[in-house]
Amino acid sequence: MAFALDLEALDVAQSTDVEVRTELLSASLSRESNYGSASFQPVVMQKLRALQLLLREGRTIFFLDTVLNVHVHVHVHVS
Amino acid sequence: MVLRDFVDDFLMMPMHDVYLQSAEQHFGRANSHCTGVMFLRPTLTALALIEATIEELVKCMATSACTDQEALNAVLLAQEFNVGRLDPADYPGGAQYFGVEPTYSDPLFYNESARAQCNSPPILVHNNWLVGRANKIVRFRLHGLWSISGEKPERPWRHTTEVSSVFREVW
Repeated sequence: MAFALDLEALDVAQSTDVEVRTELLSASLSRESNYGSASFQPVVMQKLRALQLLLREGRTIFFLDTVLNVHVHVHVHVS
Repeated sequence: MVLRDFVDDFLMMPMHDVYLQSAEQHFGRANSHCTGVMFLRPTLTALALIEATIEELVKCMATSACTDQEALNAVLLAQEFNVGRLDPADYPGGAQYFGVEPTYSDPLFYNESARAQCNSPPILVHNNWLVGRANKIVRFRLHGLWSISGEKPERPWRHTTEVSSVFREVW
């Protein structure tokens, strides 16, 4: 699942087969990507909001600051 | 980069509401945790941790360029949440998989003795302890962990001419 945080991310996410959510979409979110900089704070706050939303929905979360190798199969258990 | 099935691994771990990656340079017990890799079960404890972290981040943002990781660790320390630690041999950060380079800016830095303590392959590798998007791409490519463009993921450490070509391509 992907939370698109801006329109560019939304375009990318929608081009994949991942479920995309838009509750946290913003037109004014910083483009900063350097961890530890002040303008990156709103981005990580949105990350925490996404985790909060998913936990309230009763979902188990695997949050990764990295990507899945296409050659690796990850088993998803639904109960 | 995820290299093995972390869900199967998670299901075999002792039951904790929250599992976090170590933010330490070493492979021992973690006093500092990383918010880059988090496994969370949908429990009141996990929700309480995230909500307390949000509150802490709001508070510290008012006075500093603090991070969500600092906020989470402050909450863990103050409230004594019992969290599980993802084994750095299987879930290494950049310090454990590539070694620690003091300026955090050299994608060529590599410490073989750190790598030797990781499982081969680990379940995932977190490309942190290095600043800058281009640096991260270079380092992942040099270690055969950049396969988005369709390259084979498994490649040996490259020699100098290949390093040069990767730099030219990324910059």
